[in-house]
Amino acid sequence: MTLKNQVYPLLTLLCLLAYAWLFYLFFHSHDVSSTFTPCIIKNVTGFACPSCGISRALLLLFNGDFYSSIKTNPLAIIVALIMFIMPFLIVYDLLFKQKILLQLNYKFEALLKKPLLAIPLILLVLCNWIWNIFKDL
Amino acid sequence: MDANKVDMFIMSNGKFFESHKVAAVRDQLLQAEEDKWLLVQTIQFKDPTTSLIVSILAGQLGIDRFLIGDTGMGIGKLLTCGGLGIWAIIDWFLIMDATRERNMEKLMRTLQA
Repeated sequence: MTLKNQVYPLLTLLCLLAYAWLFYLFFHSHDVSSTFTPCIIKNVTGFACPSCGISRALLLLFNGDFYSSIKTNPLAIIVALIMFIMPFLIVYDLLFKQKILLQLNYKFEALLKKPLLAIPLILLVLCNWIWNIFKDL
Repeated sequence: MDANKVDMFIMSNGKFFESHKVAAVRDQLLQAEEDKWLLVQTIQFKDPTTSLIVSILAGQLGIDRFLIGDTGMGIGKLLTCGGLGIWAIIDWFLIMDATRERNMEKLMRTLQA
Protein backbone atom coordinates (compact mmCIF):
# COMPACT_ATOMS: atom_id res chain seq x y z
CA MET A 1 0.00 0.00 0.00
CA THR A 2 1.66 3.20 -1.13
CA LEU A 3 0.69 5.89 1.29
CA LYS A 4 1.61 8.81 -0.97
CA ASN A 5 -1.07 8.18 -3.59
CA GLN A 6 -3.80 7.65 -1.06
CA VAL A 7 -3.21 10.62 1.23
CA TYR A 8 -5.62 13.04 -0.45
CA PRO A 9 -8.57 10.63 -0.77
CA LEU A 10 -8.01 9.52 2.83
CA LEU A 11 -7.85 13.08 4.12
CA THR A 12 -10.99 14.06 2.20
CA LEU A 13 -12.77 11.06 3.65
CA LEU A 14 -11.59 11.94 7.16
CA CYS A 15 -12.78 15.53 6.80
CA LEU A 16 -16.17 14.42 5.53
CA LEU A 17 -16.45 11.92 8.36
CA ALA A 18 -15.55 14.58 10.93
CA TYR A 19 -18.10 17.07 9.62
CA ALA A 20 -20.76 14.37 9.27
CA TRP A 21 -20.19 13.38 12.89
CA LEU A 22 -20.48 16.99 14.05
CA PHE A 23 -23.65 17.62 12.07
CA TYR A 24 -25.16 14.41 13.40
CA LEU A 25 -24.42 15.48 16.96
CA PHE A 26 -25.66 19.00 16.31
CA PHE A 27 -29.03 18.01 14.92
CA HIS A 28 -29.66 14.94 17.04
CA SER A 29 -28.26 16.00 20.38
CA HIS A 30 -31.60 15.34 22.03
CA ASP A 31 -31.96 11.84 20.52
CA VAL A 32 -28.46 10.53 21.17
CA SER A 33 -28.17 9.04 24.63
CA SER A 34 -25.74 11.12 26.63
CA THR A 35 -23.58 8.11 27.44
CA PHE A 36 -22.58 7.08 23.91
CA THR A 37 -18.87 7.28 23.01
CA PRO A 38 -16.91 5.84 20.10
CA CYS A 39 -13.91 5.82 22.40
CA ILE A 40 -12.63 2.27 22.94
CA ILE A 41 -10.63 3.25 26.00
CA LYS A 42 -13.66 4.76 27.68
CA ASN A 43 -15.80 1.73 26.90
CA VAL A 44 -13.22 -0.79 28.08
CA THR A 45 -11.67 0.88 31.12
CA GLY A 46 -14.32 3.40 32.07
CA PHE A 47 -11.74 6.18 32.17
CA ALA A 48 -11.58 9.09 29.76
CA CYS A 49 -8.85 9.42 27.16
CA PRO A 50 -7.06 12.68 26.33
CA SER A 51 -9.39 13.47 23.45
CA CYS A 52 -12.66 12.63 25.17
CA GLY A 53 -15.06 15.54 25.13
CA ILE A 54 -13.72 17.09 21.95
CA SER A 55 -17.02 16.56 20.13
CA ARG A 56 -18.90 18.32 22.91
CA ALA A 57 -16.29 21.06 23.05
CA LEU A 58 -16.54 21.55 19.27
CA LEU A 59 -20.32 21.95 19.52
CA LEU A 60 -19.88 24.51 22.30
CA LEU A 61 -17.35 26.35 20.14
CA PHE A 62 -19.80 26.30 17.26
CA ASN A 63 -22.39 27.90 19.49
CA GLY A 64 -19.85 30.56 20.39
CA ASP A 65 -19.25 29.46 23.98
CA PHE A 66 -15.47 29.78 23.96
CA TYR A 67 -14.96 29.48 27.70
CA SER A 68 -17.01 26.31 28.21
CA SER A 69 -15.31 24.79 25.19
CA ILE A 70 -11.88 25.21 26.74
CA LYS A 71 -13.17 23.92 30.06
CA THR A 72 -14.50 20.79 28.38
CA ASN A 73 -11.41 20.05 26.32
CA PRO A 74 -8.78 22.58 25.22
CA LEU A 75 -7.58 20.31 22.41
CA ALA A 76 -10.82 21.07 20.58
CA ILE A 77 -9.40 24.41 19.46
CA ILE A 78 -6.60 22.63 17.59
CA VAL A 79 -9.14 20.24 16.07
CA ALA A 80 -11.36 23.16 15.07
CA LEU A 81 -8.47 24.95 13.38
CA ILE A 82 -7.42 21.83 11.48
CA MET A 83 -10.98 21.01 10.46
CA PHE A 84 -11.44 24.56 9.24
CA ILE A 85 -8.21 24.89 7.26
CA MET A 86 -7.96 21.42 5.79
CA PRO A 87 -10.84 21.60 3.25
CA PHE A 88 -9.33 24.81 1.82
CA LEU A 89 -5.90 23.21 1.53
CA ILE A 90 -7.30 20.08 -0.10
CA VAL A 91 -9.30 22.09 -2.65
CA TYR A 92 -6.32 24.38 -3.33
CA ASP A 93 -4.03 21.41 -3.88
CA LEU A 94 -6.50 19.68 -6.17
CA LEU A 95 -7.20 22.82 -8.21
CA PHE A 96 -3.62 23.98 -8.64
CA LYS A 97 -1.96 20.55 -8.69
CA GLN A 98 0.30 21.51 -5.81
CA LYS A 99 1.29 19.54 -2.74
CA ILE A 100 1.18 22.26 -0.15
CA LEU A 101 -0.64 20.05 2.31
CA LEU A 102 2.00 17.32 2.12
CA GLN A 103 4.84 19.82 2.40
CA LEU A 104 3.23 21.43 5.43
CA ASN A 105 2.81 17.99 6.93
CA TYR A 106 6.48 17.11 6.47
CA LYS A 107 7.68 20.43 7.91
CA PHE A 108 5.32 19.96 10.82
CA GLU A 109 6.54 16.41 11.45
CA ALA A 110 10.19 17.47 11.29
CA LEU A 111 9.47 20.26 13.76
CA LEU A 112 7.63 18.03 16.19
CA LYS A 113 10.27 15.33 16.26
CA LYS A 114 12.67 17.60 18.10
CA PRO A 115 12.70 16.49 21.75
CA LEU A 116 12.68 20.11 22.90
CA LEU A 117 9.24 20.55 21.40
CA ALA A 118 7.98 16.99 21.70
CA ILE A 119 8.47 16.47 25.44
CA PRO A 120 6.52 19.56 26.65
CA LEU A 121 3.73 18.69 24.21
CA ILE A 122 3.57 15.11 25.49
CA LEU A 123 3.42 16.45 29.06
CA LEU A 124 0.59 18.80 28.06
CA VAL A 125 -1.37 15.93 26.56
CA LEU A 126 -0.83 13.89 29.72
CA CYS A 127 -2.02 16.80 31.88
CA ASN A 128 -5.08 17.13 29.71
CA TRP A 129 -5.73 13.42 30.12
CA ILE A 130 -5.50 13.65 33.90
CA TRP A 131 -7.76 16.71 33.88
CA ASN A 132 -10.26 14.76 31.75
CA ILE A 133 -10.33 11.95 34.28
CA PHE A 134 -10.85 14.48 37.08
CA LYS A 135 -13.68 16.11 35.20
CA ASP A 136 -15.29 12.69 34.80
CA LEU A 137 -15.98 13.28 31.12
CA MET B 1 28.49 -6.78 -0.86
CA ASP B 2 29.54 -10.27 -0.01
CA ALA B 3 26.73 -12.78 -0.68
CA ASN B 4 27.30 -14.55 2.63
CA LYS B 5 26.86 -11.34 4.60
CA VAL B 6 23.75 -10.46 2.61
CA ASP B 7 22.20 -13.86 3.25
CA MET B 8 22.96 -13.54 6.94
CA PHE B 9 21.26 -10.15 6.99
CA ILE B 10 18.20 -11.49 5.19
CA MET B 11 17.94 -14.44 7.56
CA SER B 12 17.93 -12.32 10.66
CA ASN B 13 16.05 -9.29 9.32
CA GLY B 14 13.76 -10.67 6.62
CA LYS B 15 10.71 -10.48 8.83
CA PHE B 16 11.04 -6.71 9.08
CA PHE B 17 10.24 -6.27 5.41
CA GLU B 18 7.25 -7.06 3.24
CA SER B 19 7.67 -10.55 1.80
CA HIS B 20 7.48 -9.44 -1.83
CA LYS B 21 10.18 -6.85 -1.20
CA VAL B 22 12.75 -9.22 0.30
CA ALA B 23 14.13 -10.10 -3.15
CA ALA B 24 14.59 -6.40 -3.92
CA VAL B 25 16.34 -5.92 -0.57
CA ARG B 26 18.70 -8.76 -1.40
CA ASP B 27 19.52 -7.25 -4.83
CA GLN B 28 20.15 -3.81 -3.40
CA LEU B 29 22.42 -5.20 -0.73
CA LEU B 30 24.38 -7.29 -3.22
CA GLN B 31 24.96 -4.23 -5.38
CA ALA B 32 25.97 -2.01 -2.48
CA GLU B 33 29.59 -1.40 -1.57
CA GLU B 34 31.35 -3.21 1.23
CA ASP B 35 31.72 -0.10 3.39
CA LYS B 36 27.94 0.11 3.73
CA TRP B 37 27.89 -3.14 5.67
CA LEU B 38 28.72 -1.51 8.97
CA LEU B 39 26.01 1.11 8.49
CA VAL B 40 23.43 -1.51 7.55
CA GLN B 41 24.29 -3.60 10.59
CA THR B 42 23.61 -0.72 12.94
CA ILE B 43 20.16 0.18 11.64
CA GLN B 44 17.42 -0.38 14.17
CA PHE B 45 14.31 -1.76 12.53
CA LYS B 46 10.87 -1.71 14.13
CA ASP B 47 9.28 -5.07 14.80
CA PRO B 48 5.83 -5.31 13.17
CA THR B 49 4.57 -7.52 15.98
CA THR B 50 5.46 -4.90 18.57
CA SER B 51 3.58 -2.23 16.63
CA LEU B 52 0.59 -4.55 16.37
CA ILE B 53 0.51 -5.04 20.14
CA VAL B 54 0.88 -1.31 20.73
CA SER B 55 -1.85 -0.64 18.19
CA ILE B 56 -4.31 -2.98 19.86
CA LEU B 57 -3.61 -1.68 23.36
CA ALA B 58 -3.16 2.03 22.75
CA GLY B 59 -4.13 2.57 19.13
CA GLN B 60 -6.61 5.27 19.93
CA LEU B 61 -3.88 7.44 21.38
CA GLY B 62 -1.96 7.18 18.14
CA ILE B 63 1.06 5.67 19.90
CA ASP B 64 1.37 2.96 17.25
CA ARG B 65 1.86 5.60 14.55
CA PHE B 66 4.29 7.57 16.70
CA LEU B 67 6.30 4.38 17.12
CA ILE B 68 6.67 4.00 13.36
CA GLY B 69 7.60 7.62 12.89
CA ASP B 70 4.30 8.82 11.39
CA THR B 71 4.09 11.81 13.71
CA GLY B 72 1.38 13.63 11.72
CA MET B 73 -0.91 10.62 11.58
CA GLY B 74 -0.23 9.92 15.24
CA ILE B 75 -1.40 13.38 16.23
CA GLY B 76 -4.45 12.98 14.00
CA LYS B 77 -5.36 9.77 15.79
CA LEU B 78 -4.76 11.34 19.18
CA LEU B 79 -6.90 14.40 18.51
CA THR B 80 -9.80 12.44 17.04
CA CYS B 81 -9.80 9.62 19.61
CA GLY B 82 -8.60 7.15 17.01
CA GLY B 83 -10.71 8.68 14.25
CA LEU B 84 -13.86 8.12 16.31
CA GLY B 85 -12.61 4.61 16.97
CA ILE B 86 -12.89 3.66 13.30
CA TRP B 87 -9.35 4.61 12.31
CA ALA B 88 -8.01 2.80 15.36
CA ILE B 89 -9.69 -0.42 14.25
CA ILE B 90 -8.53 0.02 10.63
CA ASP B 91 -4.99 0.55 11.84
CA TRP B 92 -5.04 -2.79 13.67
CA PHE B 93 -4.93 -4.31 10.19
CA LEU B 94 -2.71 -1.73 8.50
CA ILE B 95 -0.04 -1.21 11.11
CA MET B 96 2.07 -4.29 10.43
CA ASP B 97 2.47 -3.50 6.74
CA ALA B 98 3.05 0.15 7.51
CA THR B 99 5.88 -0.85 9.86
CA ARG B 100 7.44 -2.99 7.17
CA GLU B 101 7.19 -0.15 4.64
CA ARG B 102 8.94 2.26 7.01
CA ASN B 103 11.69 -0.29 7.64
CA MET B 104 12.17 -0.60 3.90
CA GLU B 105 12.39 3.17 3.51
CA LYS B 106 14.93 3.35 6.33
CA LEU B 107 17.11 0.70 4.70
CA MET B 108 16.92 2.39 1.30
CA ARG B 109 17.83 5.77 2.81
CA THR B 110 20.88 4.24 4.48
CA LEU B 111 22.02 2.48 1.33
CA GLN B 112 21.64 5.55 -0.82
CA ALA B 113 23.11 8.06 1.62
